[in-house]
Amino acid sequence: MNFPLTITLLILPPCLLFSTSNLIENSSARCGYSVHPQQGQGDNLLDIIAGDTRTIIGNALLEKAEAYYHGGLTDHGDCSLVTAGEGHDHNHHEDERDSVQSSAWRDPWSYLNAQLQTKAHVHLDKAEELLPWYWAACEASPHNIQALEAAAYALAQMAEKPQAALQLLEKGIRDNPYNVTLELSRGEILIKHFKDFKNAETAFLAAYQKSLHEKASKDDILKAKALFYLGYITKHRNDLNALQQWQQIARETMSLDLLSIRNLLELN
Amino acid sequence: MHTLRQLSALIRLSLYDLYRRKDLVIVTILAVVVLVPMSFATPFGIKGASRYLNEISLLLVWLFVLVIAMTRTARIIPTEIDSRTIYPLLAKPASRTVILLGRYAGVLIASLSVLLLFYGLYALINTMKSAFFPWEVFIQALLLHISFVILVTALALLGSLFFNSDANLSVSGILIAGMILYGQQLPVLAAEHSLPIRAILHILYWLAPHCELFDMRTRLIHHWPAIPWLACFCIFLYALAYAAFCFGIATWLFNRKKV
Repeated sequence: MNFPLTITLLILPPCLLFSTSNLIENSSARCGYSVHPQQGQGDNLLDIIAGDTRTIIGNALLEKAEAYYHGGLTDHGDCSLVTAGEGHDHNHHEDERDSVQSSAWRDPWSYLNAQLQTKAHVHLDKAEELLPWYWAACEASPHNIQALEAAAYALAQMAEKPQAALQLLEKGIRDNPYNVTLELSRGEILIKHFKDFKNAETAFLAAYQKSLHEKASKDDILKAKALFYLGYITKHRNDLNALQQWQQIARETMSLDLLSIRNLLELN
Repeated sequence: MHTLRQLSALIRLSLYDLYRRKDLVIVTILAVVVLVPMSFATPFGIKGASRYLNEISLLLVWLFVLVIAMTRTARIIPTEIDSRTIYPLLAKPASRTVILLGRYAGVLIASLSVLLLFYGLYALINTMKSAFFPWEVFIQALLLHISFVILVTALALLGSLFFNSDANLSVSGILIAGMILYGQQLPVLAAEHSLPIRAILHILYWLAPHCELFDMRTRLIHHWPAIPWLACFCIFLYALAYAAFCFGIATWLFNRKKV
């Protein structure tokens, strides 16, 4: 093979790939869909190679952490970590097993399988057993907001390591710059564990501004929550003018049916 | 007595074969390579987690024992026929049933020795690390895992009379993994389909080996209470009956096989 042809063959494919991918991306953007669904949300090499696999692995690891929280039960219905401690009925598991036992002769396999399952539904109080799975979920999928939030909750509330929770949330905010939830969680930890109202106000302000951004998800509950906390902090430092401004914004832009908005308007 | 001597000679042959091939050394090194770095990990700088290590250890034990048992068993007949080592065996004054039983028992005992070694290490490390160790659940988990090995080796032995070793490993592996993952969902899946598929799924549910019944890892890791011993023995008897059925068919086929 002669030299110019070799050079051409080496240079042409990357050039063609680059130009066609740009062409496809531009035309697909006009049509309103993404051309790179496999790339995830990041730009790093691992995101491009692994794509949505990282999200799937992250979700599986998060599920595993949830199962650990419920003492190993994978079928724990809606009793998630977020709702932990709110009180829920665990008797449904026993009811299910009673009905299985009655059909022991009709279906011995499911009867024996029911014997292998537990009847007790306990909540794990040792955060250190959950943290390896949360850590793995966050590492596998840095854009998994649910994993970041749950890990921060376990660190701050259960393991009493709010500083580690803050660091995790800050890393999450860097990876997900348009996410409102992470800013809200950061602000809540700053208030609850550090009584740092100044930095918390910055976090809630960032949350509110991000909620207005076109790239953020349009979730009024999050925006209302940010407004409530902003009003709450201004009230805490007796800045009634600022409080009234936030209440005015809430009245003008938000639905009064939202609990956070009603709570904000009741602040005086 | 003569038959017992023949059997013990065949069993010894399988044990020598396992330890000579260094399979055990390789899987042990692999387990150490995976588990030792994990045991030093401190996610978010917090120490004290042990359940995730137990979970990964038990998963590796399950995988390695399954691989050793299946690969050993799948090789029994096809490899001996291919390498023509079956002829000196058949020339000996032993019936084909005794030869098959001896080879099966040898592979089974070799696999169980690996299983006992791994479970012994698991118990040793856990009793050293923590004050509480659920012995009753551990013994039940071991008994059910032994039952599982008895069943899968018999299944692989039966498969080895139909397929070559690679095909046998693939078919048996798919069947075992499928039953572990979806064994209990088969009736639900059957209810969602119309007649021909529904009937196939029901037949599969009743005839395929219910490997999911032998898995007590979650119970052991999360310190759940022991299961009723009656249920444990029922599962053990189920494995024995299933293995005896597979072995019976395998013997019948082997006695009629033209070698």
